[in-house]
Amino acid sequence: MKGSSLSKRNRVAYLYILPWLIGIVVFSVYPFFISFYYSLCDYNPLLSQHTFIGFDNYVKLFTKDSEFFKSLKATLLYTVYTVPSKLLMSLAIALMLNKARKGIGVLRTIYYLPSLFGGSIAVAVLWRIMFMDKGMVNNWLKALGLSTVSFLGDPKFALPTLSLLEVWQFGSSMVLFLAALKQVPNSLYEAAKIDGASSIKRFFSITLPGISPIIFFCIIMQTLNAMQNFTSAFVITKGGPLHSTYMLGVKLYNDGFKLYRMGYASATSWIIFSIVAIFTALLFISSKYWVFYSDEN
Amino acid sequence: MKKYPNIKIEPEYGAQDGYNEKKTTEFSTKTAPDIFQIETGSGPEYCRMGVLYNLSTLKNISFDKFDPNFIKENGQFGTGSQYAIPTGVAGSALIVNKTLADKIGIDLTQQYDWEQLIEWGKKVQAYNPEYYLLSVNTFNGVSFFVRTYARQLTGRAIIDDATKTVTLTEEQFTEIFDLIDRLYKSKTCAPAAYKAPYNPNKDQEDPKWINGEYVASVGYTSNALVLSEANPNVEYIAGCLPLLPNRKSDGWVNNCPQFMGIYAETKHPEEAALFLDFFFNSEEAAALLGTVRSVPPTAFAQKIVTENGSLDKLTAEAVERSLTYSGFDDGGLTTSAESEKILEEAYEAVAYGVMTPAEAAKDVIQKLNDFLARQ
Repeated sequence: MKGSSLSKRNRVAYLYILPWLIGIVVFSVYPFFISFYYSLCDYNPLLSQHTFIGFDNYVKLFTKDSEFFKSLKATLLYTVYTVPSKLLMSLAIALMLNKARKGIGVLRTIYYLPSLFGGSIAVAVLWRIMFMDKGMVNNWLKALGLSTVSFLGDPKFALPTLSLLEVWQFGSSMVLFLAALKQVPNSLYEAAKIDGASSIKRFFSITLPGISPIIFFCIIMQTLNAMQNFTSAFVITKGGPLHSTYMLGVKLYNDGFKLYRMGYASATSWIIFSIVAIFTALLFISSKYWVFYSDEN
Repeated sequence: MKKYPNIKIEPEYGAQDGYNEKKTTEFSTKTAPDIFQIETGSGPEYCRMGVLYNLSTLKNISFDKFDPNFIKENGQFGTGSQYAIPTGVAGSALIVNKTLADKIGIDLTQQYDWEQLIEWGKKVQAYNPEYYLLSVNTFNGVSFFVRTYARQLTGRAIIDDATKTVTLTEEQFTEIFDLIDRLYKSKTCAPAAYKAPYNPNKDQEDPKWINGEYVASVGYTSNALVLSEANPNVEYIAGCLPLLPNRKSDGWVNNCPQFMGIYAETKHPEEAALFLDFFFNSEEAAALLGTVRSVPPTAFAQKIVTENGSLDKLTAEAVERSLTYSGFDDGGLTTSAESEKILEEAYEAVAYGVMTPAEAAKDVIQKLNDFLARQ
């Protein structure tokens, strides 16, 4: 009797998670595995035909496609520009808000707002208009007596300009840092103060280790986001000029949907996945040296 | 539709941005609508891939009201059967800010050559270094300069679809990219870096166009009205287009702004044909559609829009001017997405000055041959 009532409970529980389960199988698990199969095929989506060609797509990417390396470089540079900047920015604002006594709710909301809008097409379009040669930013520079910059037309500036949009969306990391800072026991700071530790010493010896699990989490999540960037590069610059913002996400989109080489695009997506997986594994291995959990000695 | 209660038309808006990519997804999942609009350059590729229904096999649509040559050249893609229907008459156009041209002393109503174009470009710069003769971006630059100059030079499309070979030599490509190089170095065209963030065929969004700082915009006849409305304080005309003195073809194309087609996998081809027949052959539809897709493709519809005043003077003038050139449409492998991409990359590299014309020519030949080897 007990067993059957437990199984009834289980059935109900499974029913509750069924919509999610169907969603993840149909929209994540199946595409995940089928994309690997497609990466081994010559697949034209218009013809709906795929021919198995083994690892030819991967070989071609690494040996014949110079665009792939330009794209990889742009993606890695974008990751290097955005991840540390975003983390520093969010940590700095979180530290500031952690000390604020009045209006913290309002300030937190204001700083979080860009994260709500940031990933949208509308903001990307707005960013494009703001940073055009005759856009608002250049008008400000002119008003200040400075020379204007071709933010989106000059290959040197296009990628940093896109990075700025990503860094601007620091709100979610900031909220996480703020929550983590609140969790660091005050007694540790008081003891360190009594021992004569300076504020810098307290930051590096108490604050940073105290929030290291959140730093670890944010690095992984931000790297994932940066490596998969598509919206801003596609909407603002279309990958140009001269491939300077041609992220892997844009390349795989163009290969798949414009050039009808879906197998080739799938191979690119698996390379992105492999890079992110390797990076995450390295980060996990290194974490035992710099991430501290309160339930560990 | 009252006349056919068994047919229900469900229209769906599709923005130009990413239009072809959305269609690719629909074809791939076999969810494309029964009737859809097709970008001119994509028509031959769609036909080749088998996603278009052979309209010649349908009894519910007639092409009698179309000019036989026009309908043959626009929508048959060399197959002898009608796979798509042109939505209008359109062509290349140079929309000229006559007020500014007159001030500088440039007469674009008289026929001229490419060298003269560059000389005028210098003259505009001498008048005001902030002003440029031409507003053009990479996308249009390939269509209007690279492909057109190639047609004038050789009398052929860049790729011969029958033999799947490149028809131009490396020297001829070098000559084309040398022209591009000089157009940018002389500042005849606005700098590529400046035009980079603007979408193709949307000069009306460029503050320089709105402020009247370009003499002319390189584009299509169908854009004439919207360009003129962006800055109504000046007078506009449709200018002549540059020609090579010893050309083998005029190069400049008269075709259509888009096609309409029926999806090859449709379950209702005859019903779809009935709607297209209404769309193209009825007076009611002609009056309703007006000139939203440029000048209508049939004589009777042109008469209707002229009589009811919906055909604006500038568009009519641009079409008339365009029809004076007898270029041919190079739609096919030359206009396939991959060829366009190869040409655009080379064009951009030359316009930015990171590749010499000779390097660009070599790169293009190699990439086009790689592409053709996969066909």
